[in-house]
Order: sequence, then structure tokens, then C-alpha cells
Amino acid sequence: MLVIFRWIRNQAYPLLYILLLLSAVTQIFRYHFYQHSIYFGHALGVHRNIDKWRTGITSYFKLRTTNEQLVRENGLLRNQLNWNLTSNSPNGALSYKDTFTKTLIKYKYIPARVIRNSVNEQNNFIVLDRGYKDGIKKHMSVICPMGIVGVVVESAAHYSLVMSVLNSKFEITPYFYNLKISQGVISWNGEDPNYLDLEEVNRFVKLKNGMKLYTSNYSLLFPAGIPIGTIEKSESNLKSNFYSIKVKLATDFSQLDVVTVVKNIHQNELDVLNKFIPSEEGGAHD
Amino acid sequence: MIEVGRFIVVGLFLALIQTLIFKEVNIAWWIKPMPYVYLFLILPLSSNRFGVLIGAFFFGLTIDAFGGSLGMHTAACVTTVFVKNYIDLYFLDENSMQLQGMRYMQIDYKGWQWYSIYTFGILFIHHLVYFIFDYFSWTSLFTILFVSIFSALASLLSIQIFRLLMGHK
Repeated sequence: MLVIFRWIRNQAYPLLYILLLLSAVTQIFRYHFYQHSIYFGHALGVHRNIDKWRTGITSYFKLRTTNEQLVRENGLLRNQLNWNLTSNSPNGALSYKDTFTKTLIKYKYIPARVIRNSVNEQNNFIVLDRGYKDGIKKHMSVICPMGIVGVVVESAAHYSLVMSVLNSKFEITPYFYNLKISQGVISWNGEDPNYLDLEEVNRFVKLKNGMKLYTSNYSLLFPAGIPIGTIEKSESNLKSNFYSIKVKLATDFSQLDVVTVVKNIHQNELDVLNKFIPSEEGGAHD
Repeated sequence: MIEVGRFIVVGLFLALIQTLIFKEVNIAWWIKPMPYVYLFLILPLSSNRFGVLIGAFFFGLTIDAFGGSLGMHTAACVTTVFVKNYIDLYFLDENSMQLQGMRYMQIDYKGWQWYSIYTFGILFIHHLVYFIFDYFSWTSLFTILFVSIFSALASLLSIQIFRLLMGHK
């Protein structure tokens, strides 16, 4: 403290000058319109830049929270999408009031975090930090902002096991957005975790590389319209009536963090109906 | 105390001349002579520097109040006195001047060349600060320098005329 006082005493003359100059400059900026507008224009610009810089830093530290908020918001928005609603309203036409009633909503979304993941095995599985206490049950589909992830195969109280798309037993029928058809079966051959195989697509279908594939509305597990991937390469030969297609997976499994478990509210009814369909051994096929 | 009163009277007189005459003089649109800086040039070197600084502030404030240019002359006066204090400290020998019977910088100290450079330097600093706040634009930097130099020369000339009228050499 003494040092500060001594410094002030030694620098009294320059400090007095600065004080008087500031007083004069304040008068200039206060009473002269031109100087006032230029100064405050610059000051605002500087303030805006500092604000931008500060916001950049704070938002970087808030990324995790923001991510979680976005996942929650995505869930809410998905619940409000039209394809999430059943159209078999008992009263026929849907009124705005009816649109968001419980009876019309088809899916519910539960956010979860991936706590274990693998891409190197022949049959890869994912572990989520949510279980049946959070409403997660067997046969629920799992998606992420990039695309499909897998299907829940077991659920404990607080954790659940998901069969990844990168599992040789996983199969799904894609929807060709450009052609407006659902055809073929997508599966993983256990080699490259970025590519899937699409088979059983009739060779008379006009395919093009780059076509986008989504989950079909025939799917019993996944909601319609979730990205699966893009056609990378397609081959056909005269010996076979089907294409052999390589699909670039939409989901990057090495970056999985927050996912959404999709709960079909009418899953029980579908399970009962499923029992009447003669199924092949094992696997998760929709 | 009487001397302080004398300087206040001279200051008021110069302020009136500045606001009533020199403010209205239009030699060229860019030349603005401000010979009132003469007050700082005739201040004794032994004056209390804090007192001079505060005095310069109120002197500038008076000119601003008369001329309607609030703040600009004040900023210029305060800066001139502040810089002049260091110029006097490093370039003038107070003891030598006292021995020659001088209380402030005069032509007899080191000749008219020295005197002109010293006076022009002080005037230039004052005018530069004034025009920086007047133009207040980076793009007018060269204009500010140009106007400051020529206005300082006009002020120097006015001061010499004033001195001759007052009977100085």
C-alpha cells in the first residue's frame, strides 16, 4: 500500500495532467456532435469485438451443456413432427388440439450417452448409460444426429446394451429417397466400419452413386426418414438379377457420444403382431 | 500574489483577443492563428508546475467558454504546459538564465534561431493537439500536420507583431 502511495506521489504531475486532459476530452466528446459520433462509433465497434471474443470463449466452455440442451430440444421437436403422429384418429380429421395428444404421438425420445463402443469386432455392441428405469426396453431403436446407430438388445436398471449397425446380425431395409421406393437389405460385412453392403436390390432399378438412403416407413423399429447412408458404388452383372452396392454409412461410429433411444408407444401391439410373422434365426431385422 | 494577478489579467486579455479577433480572422480556411499561447511562453521557469497546469486548464476552459469550442483549447493548453515543462527541464539552464536576468526564454538567451525553434515547437504542440481533436480522423493526418505547421507559423508571426507593439525586441 505504501509503495502505491509513494508511486502516486512521485507521479503526481503526469497523473494530474492525465486527469485534466481526460476532463477536457470528456467535454469534447460530450459537446461536439461530430467527435461524439466518431468516438462512440469506434467505442461500440471495439465493445462489439470484445463481446464477440468473450462470447466465443464462454461458449467454448459451455459446449457440453449446449450439446445436452440441443439433444433434449431435438427430442421435443421430433415428438412434434408429423411423421411421429398416427393418422388413424378415431374421429377422422385432426384438429390442432388433437395433434399433440398422447393418443396421436407414436414415438418418444430418450437421450442417452454412449459409455462403451467398439468398431473393430465382427459383432459390435454399444453400452448406454440409461436402462429400464429410464424407460428403455428391448427392441427400441437408437439414433443420433448423424443417422441410425442400432437396436437395444438388453436393458439393465441403469444401463442398456445396443446392437450396433456394425454387427453382422443387424439388417435393415432402406428407403431410396430419389426413387421413392423401399427395397433391399443393408448389413455389415465386418470389414470397413464406414461402409455397409446393400443387397437384394433389383438390377432394373435406376440407381446412381450419391443417392441417399433413409429408414423406411415399413420399419417396425426405426422411425421413417432417419439417414442410413449414401450409395458409394453399385455393380450389377448378367448372372444375377440384383445389384451389389456399397453404402457409405451416415453415422461416424468413432465419434458417437450422445444418442437418442426411440420408444414406439405402440410397440406392444407390434410385438404381438410380430409373433404371427414367421421369422428367421436371430438378428435384428425390421 | 500580485504577479499571479498580473498573469490572470494578461490571460484574460489574450483570451478576449483570441475569441473576439483571431477567431474571426480568416486568412485562409485552414490557417487558424492562436497567439494566446504567448501566455505560457512568458511564464517564469521557477513557477509552480502544478499551479501552472491547473491554471492552463482554467485558461483553456475560459477560451472554450467564450469561443464555444468546449474542451479543445483546454486539452491543447494542458498538453502544451505539460510538454513545455519537460522541454524547459531538458533544454534550458535555469541557473544560467537567472544569471543573465531572464525569467523565461528570450531571444537574448541563445539567439533568435534558438528562440524561434523553441517558440515554434511549443506553438506546434499546442496547435497539433487542437487540430487532432478538431479533425478527429486518421484519414486527415496529413491535413492536421499541414494545418498545424502553418497555423503555428501564423501564431508565431502574430506573437512577434504583438511583442513589437508592446515595445519588446
